[in-house]
Amino acid sequence: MREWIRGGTGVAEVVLGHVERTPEALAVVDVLGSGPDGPSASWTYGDLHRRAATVAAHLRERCAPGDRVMLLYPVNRHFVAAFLGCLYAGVAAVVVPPPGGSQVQRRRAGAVVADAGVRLALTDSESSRAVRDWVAELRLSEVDVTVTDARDYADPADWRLVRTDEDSLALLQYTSGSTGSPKGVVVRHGHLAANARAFGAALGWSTPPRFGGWIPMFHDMGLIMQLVPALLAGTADVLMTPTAFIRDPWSWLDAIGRYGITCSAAPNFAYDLCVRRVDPERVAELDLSGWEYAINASEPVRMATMTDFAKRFAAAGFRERSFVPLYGLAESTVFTSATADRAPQVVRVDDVALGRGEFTAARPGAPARSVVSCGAPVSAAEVRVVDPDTGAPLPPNRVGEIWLRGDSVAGGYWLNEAETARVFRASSPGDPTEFLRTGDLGVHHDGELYVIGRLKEVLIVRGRNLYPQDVEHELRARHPELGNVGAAFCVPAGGTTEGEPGPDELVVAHEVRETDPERLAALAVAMKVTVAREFGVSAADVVLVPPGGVPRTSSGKIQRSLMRERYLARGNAGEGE
Amino acid sequence: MTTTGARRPSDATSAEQLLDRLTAVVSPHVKVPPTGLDPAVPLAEYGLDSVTAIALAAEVEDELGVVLADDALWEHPTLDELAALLERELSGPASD
Repeated sequence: MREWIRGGTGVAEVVLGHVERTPEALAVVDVLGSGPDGPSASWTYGDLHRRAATVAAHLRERCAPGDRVMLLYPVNRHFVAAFLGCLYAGVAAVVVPPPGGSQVQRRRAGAVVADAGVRLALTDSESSRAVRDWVAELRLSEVDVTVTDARDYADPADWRLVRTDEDSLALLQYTSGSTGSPKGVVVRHGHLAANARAFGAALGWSTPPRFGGWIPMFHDMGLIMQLVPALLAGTADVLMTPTAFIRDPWSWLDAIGRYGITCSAAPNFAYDLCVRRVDPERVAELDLSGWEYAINASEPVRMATMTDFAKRFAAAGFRERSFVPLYGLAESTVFTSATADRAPQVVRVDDVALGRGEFTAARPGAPARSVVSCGAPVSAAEVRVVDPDTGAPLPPNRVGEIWLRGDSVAGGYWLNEAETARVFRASSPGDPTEFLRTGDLGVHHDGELYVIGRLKEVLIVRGRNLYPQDVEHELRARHPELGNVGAAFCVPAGGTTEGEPGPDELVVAHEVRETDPERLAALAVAMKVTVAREFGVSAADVVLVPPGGVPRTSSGKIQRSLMRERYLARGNAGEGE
Repeated sequence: MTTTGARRPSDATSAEQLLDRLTAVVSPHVKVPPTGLDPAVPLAEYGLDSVTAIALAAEVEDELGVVLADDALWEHPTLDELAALLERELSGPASD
């Protein structure tokens, strides 16, 4: 694998190299419709550079290097220009979704403004009204808004490159932390380069792929595993919106063939959605023969999903060995572990032994579970599996917390020394070497990493992190009749497929003083509406209990795990209210 | 704001027919048979989430020739309310 970046240079210098050498090369495509006549808009590296230089000229007047600038865009090329403009200007990008109907999301973006010390927000004409309304609503008087696809807001001739090095701040990634206390992962230019190198080495490509997909840019998988490698390698990133994908999953697969995308990533649910919703008669219209890397990441990877997908789309030229199950997290920039160019590796293990933390082969007739490998850790990273209580390293085939060390591990949480020390500076007894603790449970088996589940209480729904305290807080805010104590947790969905548990479902248990059965039933339905609207997920069950029904520690901490155990123990059928 | 205008005038459609068509469209998305869907109960009770809502809105648009706003299914959370919205859209003059 060719080195993409010489030591001591930032990402901007690498991109400028492409601008000079291959100004006519395709840089970014917006897919605006599907099918043979589907419209699109594209920029070469030369086009992209002119827009990014305009953004950088504007930033030069308004910001000092290292300042944090918020980017609120739909998924499109204007975002790419703004992001590259930030890199040119040496300012740190803080990427969040444009404000929509969810109050939770609007408040969260407000909390990010405060945490990151944002004074300038960039957006495009499509989202500018929503952004200005949000600024007014939250009284963010310190925040100026610039629309970067407008004419004449800055003169690109005024642009100057701000020299950056590996230690310069590139972005703050705010996918961690609850709404009330968001945590910005500190990502420097050196992290972006190291992570792209590790990612490239794991996929083992001889020529860099053409990237593309619908993962939004406020998600680390879209920004750092799709856009940044494309910009560093000087290839193209083909963009479509998540909404376009969900409206018609066929359109994602259509874009892969039509625009020659060779690397496209999505969470497991997206592959399921394609199997369920793509009309079998339209499979023949697709060409997936060039799709070399079908990355499956950011939620639990299921073998049954990949088998079904490979069968369904074989007629379009899809190969099962294109699947790349991948493990990553924002705290290690994003990419952590994967192995490409082989059929997914799956191990059938004894489910009962797994409950005791032992990874052993399934026995005939006993409950078994399939676990998919996330590949061999790359050479640049050290992966340790430890006892989560003591930090002591565990031998292979013992389940423990995954700890990481290496040049992709990010620089901590922005201005949050306590959490940084807790998460980024973990060490084993008698060994001062510092590791990142991931909060994920996994196991080393035959030299590969298998991810088993979560240690922390974060819920993962469709590739997004959801914090139980956010759900509980929002429900109390919207439904004042609820008491002060509730617990949100996930349980495996009812059915299992060939020993693989289904995707997790959200359950909410909450205390309430009300006892009238009809009012309780109506309240439970209203709570489901709140959860779906504010968090985008369906609550599979709402359990309302009298005061004292949700367990707490003596210091008042909600015991979500205990509530979950009680819920599972009593059987959850038909006891919704 | 709930809709952004009708694309084309539809056939004269009674509220009841609309509700039936809507129920038929919604049923496979929430995996509940049409007879099991109470039009007065919010669709969230049947498992509607953001992904299903977008897919459902797309199909309602194709089926009925209207354009729904992103939050239409949350502003009009039951089949009854959604049918009433669509009836207004389909009978009213196309607006922008």
